[in-house]
Amino acid sequence: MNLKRFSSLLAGKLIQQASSLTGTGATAAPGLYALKIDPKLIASLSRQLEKNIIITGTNGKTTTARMISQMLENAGISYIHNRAGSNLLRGIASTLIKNVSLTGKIPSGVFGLWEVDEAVLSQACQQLKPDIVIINNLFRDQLDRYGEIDTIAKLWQQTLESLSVKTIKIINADDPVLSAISRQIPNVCYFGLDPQTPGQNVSRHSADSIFCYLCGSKLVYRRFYAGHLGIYSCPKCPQLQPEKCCQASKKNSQITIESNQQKTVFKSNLPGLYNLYNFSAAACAGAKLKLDKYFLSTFANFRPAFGRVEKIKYKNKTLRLFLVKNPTGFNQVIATLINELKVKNIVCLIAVNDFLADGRDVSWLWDVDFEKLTPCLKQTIISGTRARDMALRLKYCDYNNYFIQEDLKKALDKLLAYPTKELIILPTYTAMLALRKLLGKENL
Amino acid sequence: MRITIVHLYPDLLNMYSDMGNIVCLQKRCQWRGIEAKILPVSLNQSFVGKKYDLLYSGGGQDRYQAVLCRDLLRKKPSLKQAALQGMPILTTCASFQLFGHYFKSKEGQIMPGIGIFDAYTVGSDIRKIGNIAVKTDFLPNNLVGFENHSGNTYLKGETKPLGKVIKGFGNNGEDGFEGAIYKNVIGSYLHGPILPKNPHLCDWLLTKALERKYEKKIVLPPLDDTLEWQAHEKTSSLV
Repeated sequence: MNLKRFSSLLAGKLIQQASSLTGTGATAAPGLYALKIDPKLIASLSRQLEKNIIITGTNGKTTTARMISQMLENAGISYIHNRAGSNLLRGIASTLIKNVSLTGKIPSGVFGLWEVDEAVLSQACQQLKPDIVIINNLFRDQLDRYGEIDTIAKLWQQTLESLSVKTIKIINADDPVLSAISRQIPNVCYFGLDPQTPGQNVSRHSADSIFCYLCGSKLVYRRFYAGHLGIYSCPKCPQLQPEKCCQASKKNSQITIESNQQKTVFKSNLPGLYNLYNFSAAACAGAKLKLDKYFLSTFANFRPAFGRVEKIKYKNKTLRLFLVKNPTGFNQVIATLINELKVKNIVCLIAVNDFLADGRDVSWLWDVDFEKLTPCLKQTIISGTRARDMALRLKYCDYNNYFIQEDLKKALDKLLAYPTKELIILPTYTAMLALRKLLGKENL
Repeated sequence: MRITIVHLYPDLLNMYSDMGNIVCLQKRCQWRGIEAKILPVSLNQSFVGKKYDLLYSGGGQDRYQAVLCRDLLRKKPSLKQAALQGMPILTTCASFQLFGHYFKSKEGQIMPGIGIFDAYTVGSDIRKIGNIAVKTDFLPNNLVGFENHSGNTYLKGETKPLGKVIKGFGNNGEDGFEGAIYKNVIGSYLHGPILPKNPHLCDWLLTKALERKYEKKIVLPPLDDTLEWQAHEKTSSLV
């Protein structure tokens, strides 16, 4: 191992030791500094891994990754995973540093499972040379970071074109932009919902891409599932929506995953159509890894990652946390609450922060269909740094029965003081981290 | 009283919470007992200015600009006439750009606009992103919002800037101006969306619309805008 590599590994490990001793939990710092010393660190370390699997997309990375990780565990396969939330290159580097010896060795047979931020897919692919790349969806999210979704789509298309033919690309066929950019790419396996699945009534104005990415014609949708995901066709581009290798459907709480002509049927309390997408993406990857026999045990027992959809018992209350990040995600949460969980008389805390990880621009709140949620609200506390913006959004739904308390701790105390046992929390990312901490849940 | 608001290209230009501006206009009418009708007008649909009172056109992705451009040019005569007749029009982002003379991409491709604003936009690699505060000379308070654009817009001649940038980039990060105003046509790069946290601008547009329609001076009954101004203040403090 050359000196540069060794110094970067040493620096990374020292920072890791230091931050775990001081409890600062700076998960990405080791990687950040190590990469400054040796920018090729990820490539050199990850080369030793048996397989590298990348998961990207606007929504669902963490849940899909977690499904795959549980499948690997059930199959007795060791893996490393940048679980702790940093999905930029520094997070990948930090995870590698943590798991290699000082001489930079990883034991054989270990898989690498990587959640990758949409904006760095290209660099991650260059460094990791993945065996499998999963792309969940492309929604509008943090426009202040990404500019436009087309910017990302274009980058992804270039990335797909640059990948080896041997790399298996697992792509959501229900996303018309993803279908368009992967059309000419070899070795693609598509996933999505069973086209018989009834659609949802989605407000057009939060559907980002209802015009064909290839020719600009207005797409014809037979069904809308989530945002612009659905069953669609283009009047000018034949067969825009590809056939699916793997599809999921749901009846009440029974889920069916169809893959390789085989059906896996199980019961799950995991709400939302969006989780069906996560299941079918994970199944697609699992089938390619020949892990089909572990599908049932993995999916039937699956519990989602912290904060995404989480039930927390606190004193004598049950709190359900649903992470909200962007219009499609929030609309899906609302649809889940109303259509699936059929909650009425909701007592909830909506916490909107605008730190970097949340997105500094809160305009996106105006693309969320709160009008659908307000009739079900009984008591609402609004918190977070942009509580006033959130309250303003509700005011323009003609809903004024809210209480504003920007301080998260005070807001949580107020929520817990209500006599209702079942409480709902809808936080943006950093608010979710803070609230979980207050509820005594720091583990991931 | 009643008012008809045209929402131009709601299906193409909806990428950045522009619906919030329509909702704001509509509610601020409803809360005053004014009936507000929203009329969507999109591709291949004609638009006759005299029948309508206010128009809004929002932001969108570069991808749609070509399609939009062709259609907008067909609507140019009626839009120009409406503008000359004093119809209040609000255009944000992509619409703001296409209401100028042209948009020139980084690659040198020219997309013609409808020239209501004496302005032109050139593409650039630098994204101008962040909270922004703007001082106008026709509104009693500042405007606040969030800007996010790479295009640089330059004004000339009769078109005045909407306001001066107090803090932020503005149209091009050079001349200290934000947006544009010509007669009652306003253009701006402000997101937020622009109207909910700037209720005074919303009411200005509504007043102009009603005065033009009913041909008399209109004073809108005040609304309790405490929350609007608190949200406005918060953005101001972040700038």
